[in-house]
Amino acid sequence: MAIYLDNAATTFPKPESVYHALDQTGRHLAISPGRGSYSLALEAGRLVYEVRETVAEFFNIPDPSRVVFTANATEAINLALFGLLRPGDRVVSTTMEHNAVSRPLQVLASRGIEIERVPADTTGQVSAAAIREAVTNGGKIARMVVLSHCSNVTGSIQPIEEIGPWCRQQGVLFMVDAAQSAGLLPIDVQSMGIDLLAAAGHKGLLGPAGTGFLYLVEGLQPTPLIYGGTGGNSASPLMPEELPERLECGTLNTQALAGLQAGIDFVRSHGLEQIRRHKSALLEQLFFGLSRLPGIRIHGPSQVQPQGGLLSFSLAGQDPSEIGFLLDVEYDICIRTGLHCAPDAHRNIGTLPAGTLRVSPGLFNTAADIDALLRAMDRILCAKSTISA
Amino acid sequence: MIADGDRIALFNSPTRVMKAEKLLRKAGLVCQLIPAPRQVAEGCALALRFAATEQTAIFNELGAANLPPRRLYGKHQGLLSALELTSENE
Repeated sequence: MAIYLDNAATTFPKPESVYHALDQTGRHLAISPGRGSYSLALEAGRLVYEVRETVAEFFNIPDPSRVVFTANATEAINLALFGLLRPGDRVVSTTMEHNAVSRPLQVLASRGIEIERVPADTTGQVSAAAIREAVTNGGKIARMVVLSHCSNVTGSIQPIEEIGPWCRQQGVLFMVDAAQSAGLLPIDVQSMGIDLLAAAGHKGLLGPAGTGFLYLVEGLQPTPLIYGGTGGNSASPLMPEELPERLECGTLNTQALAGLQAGIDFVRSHGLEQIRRHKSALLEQLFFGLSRLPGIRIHGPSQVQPQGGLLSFSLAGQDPSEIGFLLDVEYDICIRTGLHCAPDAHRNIGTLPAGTLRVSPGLFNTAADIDALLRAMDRILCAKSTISA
Repeated sequence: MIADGDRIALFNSPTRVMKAEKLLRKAGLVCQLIPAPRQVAEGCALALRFAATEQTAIFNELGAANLPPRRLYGKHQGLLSALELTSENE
């Protein structure tokens, strides 16, 4: 069986309980929730509400109705950015963002929204002081700060607990892209001053693909991205004012949300600390193993800095995509190569245009998997040096 | 679906009515989700039905959770009529 080490893209496999929830809900309750008033529809609606409550509890969100389900983190980010920003607004972001943030911002820039991207250091770290400076730079305070909690290229963790409360004091909206951190790092929207939290359900939260959410602090009322049926007040020609319905039209995926519930329950039962310890141990093993190989350059935080659930590296004079191909076809090992949909971040750390090789172990990977990767890398490098000699 | 002496409460959204039902059931109060009758709500809204005798307890519970209904109706002699949003109605 293949060794899957691309959990930063999506976690695989999922816990058994997730498969069970998907199967059982698919067979017995794959009903349109919030539509119709027969018993099964109500039961599906109750299930979806429970998932909303679970998400709210997990991130210390005071009101579950402020949790809007989306298909993924990208949709959640687009919903917030396009729904809230208006011409004349100024937005502060960073050079470490995924295209999920940087592409919407690029479009918004053409619509009269001013974007300032704060550079990270060469390890991918952004300082809170630099964000503060950018927010107040130029005489007009920014309307919003938006950044990723954890880089999908370097694993760098940004100091959101420092930035958020300061933004709250200044009256600046603070939005966090938690695609890589939800289910790995503790996130408390209240103590961290987070006004908007976008996350995928299918990564660290261990749910199925097609799940994600946006949390919006009380008082925010974005323009919807999509218009349509919401289940209640159908006679009105307008979208409802209330959340989540205002931003959540069309049939929700009850089955997938049941899977997300099971995924979050699994994370809660194991605890973030244990999950992080497991991944950190595998990344440390990888770090020291790679450090012994010739020509390897590891990108991102040093071993003394906190790091998310991935490690990026490159090889002098080698194309990452070729190494990734060899790992796949000769050793049955799946890792990610290239730009990881984050060209700005690669520009920042100096790995454009080739990108890096990214390894992101999951909860079910073991030390033996990392050993297999290291052995494969050793053989690939030996073969290459023999050929070039 | 609605008997004399019943109350039906409408909320602002399907999510809020689900939240209300869960809260009330957890508190041991008897209520049921029903389709809102055409006379009181256009479209496909849900309503929460409960006995008039439970109104005080239910309003106290909803008030404590900052979840007041949007509208309240009572059925008397076969007719539904709007009631004030208070914890007690004659």
